[in-house]
Amino acid sequence: MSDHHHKETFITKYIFSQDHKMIAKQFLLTGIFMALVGMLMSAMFRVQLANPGETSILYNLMPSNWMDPDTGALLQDKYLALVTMHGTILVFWVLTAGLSGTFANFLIPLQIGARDMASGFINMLSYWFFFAATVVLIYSIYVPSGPASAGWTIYPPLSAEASYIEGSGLGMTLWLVSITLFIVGSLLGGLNYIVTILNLRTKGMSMKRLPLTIWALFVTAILGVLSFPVLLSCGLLLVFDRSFGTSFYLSDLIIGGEAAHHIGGSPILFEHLFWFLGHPEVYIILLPALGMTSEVISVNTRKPIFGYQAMVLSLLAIGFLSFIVWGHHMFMTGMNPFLGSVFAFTTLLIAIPSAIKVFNYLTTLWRGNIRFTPAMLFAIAMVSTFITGGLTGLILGNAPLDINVHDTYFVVGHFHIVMGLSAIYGMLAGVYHWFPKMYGRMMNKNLGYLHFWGTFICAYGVFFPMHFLGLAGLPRRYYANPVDMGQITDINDIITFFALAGAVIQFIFVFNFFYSIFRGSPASKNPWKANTLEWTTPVERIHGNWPGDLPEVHRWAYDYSKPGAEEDYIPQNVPLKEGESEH
Amino acid sequence: MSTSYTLENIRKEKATMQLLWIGMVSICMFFAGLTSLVFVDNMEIPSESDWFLYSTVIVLFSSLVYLIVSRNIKRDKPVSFLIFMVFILGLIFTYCQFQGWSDMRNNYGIIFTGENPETGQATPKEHSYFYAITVAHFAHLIFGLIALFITFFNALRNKYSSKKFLGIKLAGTYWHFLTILWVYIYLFINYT
Ligand code: HEM
Ligand SMILES: [Cu+2]
Repeated sequence: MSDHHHKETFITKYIFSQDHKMIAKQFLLTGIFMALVGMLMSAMFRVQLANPGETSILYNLMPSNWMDPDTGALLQDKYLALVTMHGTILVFWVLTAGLSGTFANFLIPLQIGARDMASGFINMLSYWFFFAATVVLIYSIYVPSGPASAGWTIYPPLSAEASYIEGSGLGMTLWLVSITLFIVGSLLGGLNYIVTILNLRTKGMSMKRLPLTIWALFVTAILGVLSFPVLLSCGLLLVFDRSFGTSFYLSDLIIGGEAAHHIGGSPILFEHLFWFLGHPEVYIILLPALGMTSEVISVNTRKPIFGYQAMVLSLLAIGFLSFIVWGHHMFMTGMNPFLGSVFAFTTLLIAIPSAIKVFNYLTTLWRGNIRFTPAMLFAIAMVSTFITGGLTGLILGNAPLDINVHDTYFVVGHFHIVMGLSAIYGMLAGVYHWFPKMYGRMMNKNLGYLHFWGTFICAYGVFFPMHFLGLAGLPRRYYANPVDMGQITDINDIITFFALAGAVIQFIFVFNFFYSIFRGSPASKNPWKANTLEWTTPVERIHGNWPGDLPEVHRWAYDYSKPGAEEDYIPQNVPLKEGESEH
Repeated sequence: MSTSYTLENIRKEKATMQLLWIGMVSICMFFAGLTSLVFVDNMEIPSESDWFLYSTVIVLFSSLVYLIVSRNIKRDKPVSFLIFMVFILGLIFTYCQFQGWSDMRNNYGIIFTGENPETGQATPKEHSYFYAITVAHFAHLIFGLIALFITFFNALRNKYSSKKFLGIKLAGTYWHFLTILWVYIYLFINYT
């Protein structure tokens, strides 16, 4: 491979790098940064919910015109701005780009035995589109009229006219510019992931031997290239409505006593287009986390993953079904009840492959020789919160039940448990597990445990009580609680307490992460004694991943504790012994 | 660059073609999103101008010519003039589209946005939609024209042979795709 070693400058090595490992780190660092921004925003609106109308030093993080000049309280429409930015950042920036961008880039070439992505150049473009999107989004926070404020789902009419809410002015325009750049970046990334997996697998790495991480990232990328373009068409028409005065989504509205000039459009169209992306998007977020969890659990139970084929098939089933359930976000739009029951049916079907996955995780854990590394704890927690959140999903998927709790804190509780906890835990499991491969050093284990238990307790403290608030009728996105809820009125204070404590605890992780990059104890080549190919590469980063020839694959990734073997793991590049059968 | 046709090259070519194919699937989803609107809302899209019939014939003809390009290059016959011809046909197609849009505006009163000068009514979304979907096709066509031009330029410099013509394959696949996409849009706006 020495002929592949061209001279690297600082710029080509760290900035405009085409090396997938460096691009992965760029995605990860941007993702962590955005996660902190999004988290601080949630701390601010949680403080408002606990102490409505009072001031807080936290608000000083935002431009000064976000506070009431007399009381110092957070302004009402800026509360909505915070909620909107928080959702946008967490859903798209952290759990889509931060998660897929990091681990698809890092793991695909390393785990399939390729020197790099199919196109390093497109891969680099993918990151820089994402970066540009980030700059525009951050900038939009500081424009005088404030950032987009119509919720992360940017439903028109609220998002369509600056006269409805300040954030629907320049801030919304910038949101749309930013998300367009984001979509282009995601598509370029997704194209590359798919083509790389299909074409660049090393000798012996048949699809049936692919680690489940790669299967999950593969299905995720397919969902992305099929659904993001629809969001683009959805956003394009919104741009026309906002900037050129067309009426796709807007109809005979009265604003301030005057009839608007729009006729004949329908905001429901927007919801259809949005949720056609929106639902696959939640699986774009979840599947990579599920994939990494499979890997981490198998390695740390020292057992083959239970039901490999069922795992792959359920990934494919979830991917397929996720395209025909979007209507469950729209039960309250006055849709034909028959159509509603069709969507309820398809939605409940997703429970089957989801339950299969959970069952297989549990059976893998059963009687395993479990090593509780921080990554493993996060992976187990990922499975546990997927169960908790999936159960409320079943409730929401039933139209007659959903109608009662739609747009309340019950929904907020549901999706935070599946995304805010499950997907984030999967991502953290990935960071703790692959950190030694990324930076050649180990993260501190004890800080990891502290981070895990603190996060786990606080996160449940935040999101579990939300279900009760929702059942009691508290609508989501309200600036303050308008109804007297008797005994549970103080729940908001408890939630805020856990939210702030949980936020502080995340800095343990941030410290551990950056400290370990420079000072962590040096990692060995294969610290977890894992089977996948990335652990056969040398510790120091090289362009092309393997010195000399690419490894050849002889077995699946899950030969742990195989009867008759000397050690409890057999890497994929070890040939079968004479008379040894594949799993 | 070596002229030997190694296994590595075949793999790379296959991967590049796949990148294009998956990209085209993405573009299809974009237009499927736009299409779905019409069914959700039972819209009737205007399509009065005859210019769009002309452009349809032209773009079909351009694709036919490109088929000859693909055949010729496999036999090492000259292609640069034919590619140039496809490029020019693409420009004529563009001309027809622009004529069609101005025809719709000036002679049929179908505008993208704003108030109808005679009736004072706001533009119905069917009319805006007509422009949205046809212009969206044109936006994709620009990249096709660029690709044709680059391919033509490379053909002039004898970059292609029967052994090595990935560029011709890529540009052609995309150009045929644009043709099919346009025919679809044409039928769609005429029959809804
Ligand atoms: C068993 C699986 C699941 C079912 C049956 C399900 C069902 C539902 C339903 C019916 C709603 C609409 C509630 C309403 O607005 O009234 C909903 C909302 C939501 N779900 Fe799920 N869900 C499931 C899993 C997931 C997963 C795995 C994720 C993400 C990782 C997720 C993310 C969301 C989000 C983000 C929303 C709310 C979006 C919003 O209105 O802002 N769900 N879910
Ligand atoms: Cu959904």
